[in-house]
Amino acid sequence: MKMVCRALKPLSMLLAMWLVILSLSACSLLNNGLFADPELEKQVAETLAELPQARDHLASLREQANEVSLLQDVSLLQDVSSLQTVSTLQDVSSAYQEALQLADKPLVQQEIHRRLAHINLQLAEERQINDSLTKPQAIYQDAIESYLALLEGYSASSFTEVNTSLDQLLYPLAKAYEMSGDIPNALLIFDRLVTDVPNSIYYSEAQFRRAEILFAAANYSKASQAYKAVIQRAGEAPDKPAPFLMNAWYMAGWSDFKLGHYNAALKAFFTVLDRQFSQSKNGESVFAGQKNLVNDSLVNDTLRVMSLAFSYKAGPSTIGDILDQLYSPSAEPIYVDRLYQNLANLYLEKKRFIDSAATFAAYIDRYPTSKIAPAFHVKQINVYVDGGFPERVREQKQAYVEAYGVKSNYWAQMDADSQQLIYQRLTVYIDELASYYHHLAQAKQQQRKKQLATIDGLKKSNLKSNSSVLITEQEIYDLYQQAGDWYEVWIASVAESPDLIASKTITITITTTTITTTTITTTTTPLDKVWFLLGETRFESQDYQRAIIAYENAAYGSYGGESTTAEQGFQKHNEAAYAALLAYDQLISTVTATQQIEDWQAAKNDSALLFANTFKADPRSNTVLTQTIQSLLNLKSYKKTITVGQAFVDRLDSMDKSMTTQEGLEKQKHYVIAGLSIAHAQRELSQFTLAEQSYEKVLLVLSESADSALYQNYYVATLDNYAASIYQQGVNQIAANNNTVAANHFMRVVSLAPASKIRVSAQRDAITLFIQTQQWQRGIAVMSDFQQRFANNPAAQAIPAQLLLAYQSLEDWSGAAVQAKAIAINDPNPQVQQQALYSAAEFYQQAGDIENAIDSYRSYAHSYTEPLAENMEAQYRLSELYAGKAASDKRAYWLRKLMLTHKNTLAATERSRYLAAFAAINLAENTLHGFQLVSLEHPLKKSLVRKRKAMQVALTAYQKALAYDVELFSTQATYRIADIYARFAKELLNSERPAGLSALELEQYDFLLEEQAYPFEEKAIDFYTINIERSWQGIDSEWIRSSYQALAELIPAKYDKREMLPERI
Amino acid sequence: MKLIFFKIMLLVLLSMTYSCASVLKLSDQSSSNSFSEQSSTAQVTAKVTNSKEANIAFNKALAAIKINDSSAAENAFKTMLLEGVKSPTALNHYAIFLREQWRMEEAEDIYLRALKYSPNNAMTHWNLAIFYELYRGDYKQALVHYQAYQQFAESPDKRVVYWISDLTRRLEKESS
Repeated sequence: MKMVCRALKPLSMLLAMWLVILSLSACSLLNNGLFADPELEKQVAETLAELPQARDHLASLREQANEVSLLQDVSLLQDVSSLQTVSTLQDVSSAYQEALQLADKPLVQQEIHRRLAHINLQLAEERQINDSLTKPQAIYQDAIESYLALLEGYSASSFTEVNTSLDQLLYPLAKAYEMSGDIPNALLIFDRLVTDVPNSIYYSEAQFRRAEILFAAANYSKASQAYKAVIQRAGEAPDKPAPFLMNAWYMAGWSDFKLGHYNAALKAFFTVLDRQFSQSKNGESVFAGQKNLVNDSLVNDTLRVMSLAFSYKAGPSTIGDILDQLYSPSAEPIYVDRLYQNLANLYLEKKRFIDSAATFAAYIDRYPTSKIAPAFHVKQINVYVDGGFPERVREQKQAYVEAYGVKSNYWAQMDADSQQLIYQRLTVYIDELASYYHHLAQAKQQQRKKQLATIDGLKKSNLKSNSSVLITEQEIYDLYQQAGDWYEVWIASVAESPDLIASKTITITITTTTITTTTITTTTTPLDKVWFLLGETRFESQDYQRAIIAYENAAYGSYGGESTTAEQGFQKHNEAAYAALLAYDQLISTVTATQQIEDWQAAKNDSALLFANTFKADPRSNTVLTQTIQSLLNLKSYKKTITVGQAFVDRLDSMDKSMTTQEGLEKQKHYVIAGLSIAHAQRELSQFTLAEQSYEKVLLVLSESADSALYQNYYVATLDNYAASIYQQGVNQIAANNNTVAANHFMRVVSLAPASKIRVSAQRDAITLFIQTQQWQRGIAVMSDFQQRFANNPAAQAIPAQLLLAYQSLEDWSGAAVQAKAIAINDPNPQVQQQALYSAAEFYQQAGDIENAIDSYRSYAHSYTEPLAENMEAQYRLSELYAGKAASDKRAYWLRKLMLTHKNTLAATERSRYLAAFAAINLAENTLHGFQLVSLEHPLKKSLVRKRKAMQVALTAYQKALAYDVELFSTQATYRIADIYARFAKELLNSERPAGLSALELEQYDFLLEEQAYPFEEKAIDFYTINIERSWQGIDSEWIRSSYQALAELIPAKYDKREMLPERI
Repeated sequence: MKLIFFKIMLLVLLSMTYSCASVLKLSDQSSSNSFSEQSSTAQVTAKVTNSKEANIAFNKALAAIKINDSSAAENAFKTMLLEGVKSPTALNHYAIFLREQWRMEEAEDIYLRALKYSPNNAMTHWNLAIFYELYRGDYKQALVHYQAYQQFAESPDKRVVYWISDLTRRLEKESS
């Protein structure tokens, strides 16, 4: 038996090859354009494209089927097994030939013939394998003739006896015909078999072979019927093996497909697939049968032809329609996704990108919660990518993010692996979307710049623009806004799934079909980078607040000063941090409310300090710190200004601030600004001593190079502030009533910062304090210095007055006089000039500088007639000074001037009257001297005339004085008048007597003299008495007392009365 | 300054003199009855008051007058008054000091004070009469005190008789 099997095996192989040849023949026929219907021919042509694969898997199926049939052949020829000793079929045949000659019974002979026929068939098959030169007809001729001979002698009764039915002859005969290439006779024999022996065990195979022959002959209608007969027979006996059933369904589908009966074909194909797949109890998709290449091929080919069918119909919607027809929603086949994917692939192969994408979209629409939906979405996107539909790519990426994003319902329902898979795509797509909008915005921005440049150029050339519509800023902002939104989505995704950040390879089994393993490696865009990009977009869209947040997240979100694994893709933390500061600046420039500005500035300062602290090595950190310190100062955060500034200065102290290098210059600049800020803050906090020290340090640094720009920019102002700090210490001391100490501080300003602006004020205030504290000598020195240095300073105008006060206080009348004279000359106020001139005259007088005193008084008296009092006083002083110089004429001039002034004025006062009286009395005194000089001598007559004349002059003068009725001078004038009379009388009595008079004559002469003198004596007594009576009114003067004395002499009995007193000790 | 210093030193020396030597004491009563133009040379030995301090002050006043130190004299006289001096001699000295200062009202007051303590003191009436006649022009009062003098003096003065007559005549002339 084994030998027979070994003999039959090559035959079976040949049979398989035969079947293949049959198929190829059919194909060649189809390919030769035998179909009249062009559509049918087209379909066939498309089918032919599938044929290489179909041929392969069909051959495999047929091989399996042949194995089954060969087994039956073996059973059929079981009798031959008894010929185990026969080593070859030829030996067996020879043996049967010999047996035939020996057999005499018809039934035996008939059986031997039948067996010989089989052996001939096997020999032919064997020979066909080994002999390629001989034609098949010749090879199978013996076998065919053998079976034809048997059929001729066939009678039911005879074969029944040996249990040989007709089908056992027809089947091998048909086979022999088929192997010999005689397909028509083979078909006839198969037709007879299925017709005459419908219950034959070969029925299904015979139908199948018929169908194959008919299909190969493009007789798809009959082929379909034959395939369906196979299917029907299997359905009638479901418990029995149906080896041709799968192929029958498959080929029935193909037949209907060829006939254009796509729905029927699709139903058949669904059956094929249903039989290939079954649902495992745990829900996973598994093959129902043994998983091998053949089945894979069958499934793939089935899917392929189904895709064609779907494509001929309405595409993806047909899939849904058929599914709805064939399955309940809960019982839909598990390979549905592959239907869509294959259809999509089909479209894609045909460059029908839209249809392909639509197919994936149809699946997603129908199964939105499917585990594979995200993967199909990815495929859909990829199709659009391949097709060159960027807009749709972008749309679908957005749709992907919306549908499966971390905030979606879909995401929430997925397990970790699915989320990981989606997440990786999400991050990629969001990144791409953000990048797209970002780049687009940048491009538009550049384009707008060019447009504006063009317009500007045209304007300059007075040409009209005919260019395209100008891209608006809003358009650009919107694009940046969109980019930023996508970056935010990306970040939100990362935030929602922090454990999914790391790169990971994911394998996820979704179906048993081609999408069994999906591996996506996440892009490794670092979170910090996205924050940075978000910041960039927000900045460009002028959303500075959000830009700041983004930049700061980029800078400090995960950065700890050293690069970590997560940050390896992003090395711009310092740039982000700095960009945040720029965004702060922009934001601040857009707000107008003071409080808002300050709040944002404070926030910026915090950020800046973080920048400087985090990125110490950044070359901008010093500049940032410097600006921050200045800002803190501006915000009146004085304590913080000092703290931060001091730390910065300490840091800079450790650096090289040499002016020889650019870096050194920069550091020195920072040092100066920080130092100044500290000092300013200390000043604001009233820490003036510390401020002074801080300013001094800065000055020391600046003074290292007086020709530097730094010096030029800062030295003067710093010196001013330095001086101001010292000055303020003085002010504080004034408040504490320590004026002496305050003056010392002010003088420190003068000595330490002589070139400062406040030096003038300081020196001026020091002067004031010196005056207040009566430090006259120091005051004079400082005032004189001030006067000399700042002659044009308004304050210098007050210096002469202050110096005057100082000199007065020191009783330095010369100095006082000089200052008063200076005021009289230089003071802009005429009234002050006038008063100062008078004072100068007085001081000169006090100093004993008579000439200058006279000069000043004279100048005053001549220059200022008003007010009357001072004018007359000056005249009076002049008269006195000239009296002192014995310049009687000049004195008389001023005395007369006094009288005249009083006489002419309409505003006479007691004083003017007094001075006029004074003048009058003094002028009268001059006349008295003239009166006294004239002596009465012989001849009396002449001298008496002169004497009387002189007397009259004197009396007139004294009468004038008396007329002013000034008590002091009235008593004097009265006394003088009385005295003149008394003297005249006395001199008359004592006058020289003429010589030669007799005693009588002399007596008479004396009598006459007494008579002449008596009236004058009486007048004298009268005038003296006037003075006495004045004394009774309480008036006292030397002239009254003298009058008493004179009366005591003239009338002793009456006036020479004396009090009595005990002797004095 | 030098002058002031000198005066102070002098007063100190004087006070030392008074305290060391037997102090000049004025009589409790006006002991001299032979007032005349020479009365000013009369010895003044009577005690003015019981107050030692008043005596000292009086002597200080006289010493100051002698050196023309009016201010010191003024102070001493005031001290004297405060010590309750009643001596007509002392008070007449003071009144004359004031009259010489031309402080007529104060002088009158002191004279009247002297009269209050010693209404019969002829010296006071003499002085007061001259005061009223020459320095106040009050002839009536002058007449009264001349008359009082004549009354209280140990012996009426012939000059006073004439003066009374003259005053009377002048008063009559004024009244007519």
